[in-house]
Amino acid sequence: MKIYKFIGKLVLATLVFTACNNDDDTSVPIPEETGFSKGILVSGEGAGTQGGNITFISGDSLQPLPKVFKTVNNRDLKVFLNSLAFDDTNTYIIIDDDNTITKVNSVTFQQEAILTEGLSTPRFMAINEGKGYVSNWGVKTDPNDDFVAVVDLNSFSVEATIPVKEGPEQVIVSEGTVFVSHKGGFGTNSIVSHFSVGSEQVSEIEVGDNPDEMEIGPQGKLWVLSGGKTVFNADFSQVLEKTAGRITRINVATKEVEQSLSFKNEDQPGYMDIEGNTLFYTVGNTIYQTSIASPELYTNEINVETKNSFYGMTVDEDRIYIADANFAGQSEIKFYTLSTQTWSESIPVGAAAAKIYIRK
Amino acid sequence: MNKYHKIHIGIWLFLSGVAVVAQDFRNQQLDTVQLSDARLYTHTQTFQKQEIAKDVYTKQQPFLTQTLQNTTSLYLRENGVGGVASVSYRGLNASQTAVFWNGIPINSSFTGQTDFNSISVQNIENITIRSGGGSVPYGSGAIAGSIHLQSTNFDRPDIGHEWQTGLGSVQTAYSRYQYQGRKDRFAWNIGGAHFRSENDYRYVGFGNERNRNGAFQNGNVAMDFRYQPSDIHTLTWFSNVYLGERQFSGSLIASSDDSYEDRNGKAALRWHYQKGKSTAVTTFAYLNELFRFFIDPDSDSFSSGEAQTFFASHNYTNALHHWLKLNVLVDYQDTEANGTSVGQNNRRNLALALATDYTVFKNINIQTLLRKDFNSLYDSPWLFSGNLLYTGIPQLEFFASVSRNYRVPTINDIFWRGVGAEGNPNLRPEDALQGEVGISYRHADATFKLNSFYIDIEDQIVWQPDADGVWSPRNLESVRSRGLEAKATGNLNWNKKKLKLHSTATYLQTINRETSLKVPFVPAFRWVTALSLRTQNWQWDVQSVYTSDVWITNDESESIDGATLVTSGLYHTFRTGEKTLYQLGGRIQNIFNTPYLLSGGRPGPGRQFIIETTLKF
Repeated sequence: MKIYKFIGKLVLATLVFTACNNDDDTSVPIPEETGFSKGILVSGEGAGTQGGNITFISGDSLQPLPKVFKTVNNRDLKVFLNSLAFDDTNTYIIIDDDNTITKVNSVTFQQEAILTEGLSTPRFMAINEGKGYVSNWGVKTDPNDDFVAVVDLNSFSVEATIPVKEGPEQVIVSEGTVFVSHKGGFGTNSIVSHFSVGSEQVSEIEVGDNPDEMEIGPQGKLWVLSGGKTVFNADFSQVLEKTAGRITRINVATKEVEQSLSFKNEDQPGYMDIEGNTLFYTVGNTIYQTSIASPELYTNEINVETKNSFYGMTVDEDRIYIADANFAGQSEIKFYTLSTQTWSESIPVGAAAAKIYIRK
Repeated sequence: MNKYHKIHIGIWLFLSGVAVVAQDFRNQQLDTVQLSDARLYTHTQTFQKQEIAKDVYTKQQPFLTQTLQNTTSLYLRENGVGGVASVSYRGLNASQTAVFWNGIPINSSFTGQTDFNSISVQNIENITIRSGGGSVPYGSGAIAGSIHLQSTNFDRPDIGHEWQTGLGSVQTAYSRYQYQGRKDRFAWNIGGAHFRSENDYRYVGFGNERNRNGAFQNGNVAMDFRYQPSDIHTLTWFSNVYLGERQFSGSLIASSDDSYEDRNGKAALRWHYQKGKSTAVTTFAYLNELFRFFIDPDSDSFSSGEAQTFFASHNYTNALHHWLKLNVLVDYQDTEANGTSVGQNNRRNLALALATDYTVFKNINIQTLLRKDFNSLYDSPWLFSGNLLYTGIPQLEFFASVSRNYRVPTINDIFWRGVGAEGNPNLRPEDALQGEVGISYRHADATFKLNSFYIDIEDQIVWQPDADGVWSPRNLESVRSRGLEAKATGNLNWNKKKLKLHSTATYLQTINRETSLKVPFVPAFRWVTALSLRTQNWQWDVQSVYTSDVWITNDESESIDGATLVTSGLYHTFRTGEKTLYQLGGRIQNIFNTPYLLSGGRPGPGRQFIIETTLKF
């Protein structure tokens, strides 16, 4: 019965919210059974005077419900909300500057626990068999304190800390191996490190500069997007070096680089996603698509117009969702439908919207 | 705040004081001018001025922030109590209000603005707010208005020693010592002050958390001298060294363990010549600003910046007739900046201005001013200003003014190079065209004033991210601000009792012209009222400040609620000799424990207490 009580509360909160905003048509019907566990979740990092935020968009109506965490828990999330992670029943909110992971019920979004010990600038978490693998940058001034924290999701505590090289970013677990891209954190790096689940023996694979996005594609291959790096002198007054990005295909079993595509000039790609047999990636405000089987760079471009900053991309079925982040107000998301080649209307979301999660 | 830093501060204060004294006596160049900021008098109608009485601000917490917040229409956005505080005057942003110390511009070379929580009023003798465009006499940034701090009034009657100590909530403590004197042709004013607070107040109305990582302390030493070798010549020396250490507090939405140190040294030598109808004021000044920003309390690494500015100005006035005055201004400024992400660079500016002041039919005064700057980094527009004052009807004054003003890009705007942000060498100065009209009425001991202004700013510099997420400044925005300001003052005297009332109300409409949306951090209404009652030995005051809601985002999507804050103090004076007096008192800030936000996610303090003693001998 708890859920009905919650929905009641939620409706009330929504009414209050809409009343404050003099906006009559934003009440969002939340399916009772699935709550926030089905639909679109957009996480915003927060910026300036606004905290981290999560907007729920119902998949059918495409109506946004802002600040769901705050609405339910009556507390602001702190900055900067870097990413979300999900298991069967829970959603995990990773806030890097606050060194915390908040565990909420995926349906109700009610907070169940908060992890405050053992993290240091946490970035991403991958989940495998009740364990979370969390990349941590450590403190800015120490390039040698970066680690992956292994979190027991039941007791919700850090049970092991595995030191890795500078700047671990995205984490993926595939076939019993944990892969970590090293975007470089407060510095730069050019590796994907990996270790077997249960082991603390870390090995490294050399990829392009500042690897960030990782995806498992067809035939279980690991695809890594390296953004390229920009190196400054000590006081940041001069650019010493600027390198182009790269897309790398890694064999998960052998850990070998099977294919490598280099961007030209000083092009530094931003985001990457795989849907079916197509790989999508971006350079500046352009999205490119290529087939996984015979990948080529700079093909099939789609231009993205943004009001502010192109800050995130997720591809799901026929749609490319993009986040247009505003750091001093409301951001927007919109999607491009591949079959009709049209852009949707913009949907308002929270400050500094960065990541779009399609929950089914 | 670790022990090392405390010792460091002590040594620094001591050495700077000694150095300043040594230099002074070696050159034998001591001394004074009646007005440390001559332009405030020659190019400012009384209509545009608001002075804050010294006994008002010495009874506030000794940051300029509280003084302005509680007594003027200026709105200050504080990033936590003691944190970085930026002003919004007449709806404009912080770099569009200029701050002067003894007539010398002190807005930061890096940010173009003044952090009002890094300015102590403990060694300040007079604070004057000058409203409206003032770029012709004052240069960059004087668009909404300017704030003038004068450190000494050498001719003050009640000179001598003064010691003040205050103790308050959240382990707040401040003390100030001042010694002012005159002998023969010399006059001096020497002061030292310290202010500290743990500042870990409990949030009121926003959960039960404490303000974390918010402690601060600062100290400053001031030495001013005046020497008048003859009735014609006056030499004045002003100097101040300020050291501040602050933690930058966390908030409801961000944790923080950042801390910040700033060190500001200022020295000025002024020669004032007056003979017959000619007055010439020549000033040389040296300003040094240094900051260090620590993001990790366990590490010694920090980012920093240091700027040194050499300033010279000459101001010549000749009263050709009793109805016509001519004035020539030459200002030269050379700034050398060096810092993390900006490298080492230099900016030079030469400004020439010509002003005339006519009085016709005895009651119409017209001022016209024209100015052109020559800058090593960018082209500056021709600036002008025209003021009209009509006093032909008894008890009434009519005032009108039109001016074109500007704000130059800062060192950060131009030279910044860093991860995710890049300065822009092709910026133009911001260009403001504005006008105002006003009327004032005086009846016995009461005055009423009403004025309305219009400001149109083009090419406003704004930092925005590009497609790659790299932040960069561009001359993008255009802003229009309109407003009404009303002010009433009254004095009532009876039976050795004095009642004083001061009330200011402002209504602002400031919009971004591209989006037609309201500019964030501009309250539409502000109403400040102060009442004080004085008897021979008692002094009581109460101040009430209402600020309306402000948007905190640029798209009218989020706001913080308005609030009324009330402060009151009661003081008793014991007189033990002709010159000796002792005052004991206390004040309560935010009497009604009103919950409010200083800025997004930053609850302000609830009720706080201060006990204060002052000894004069």
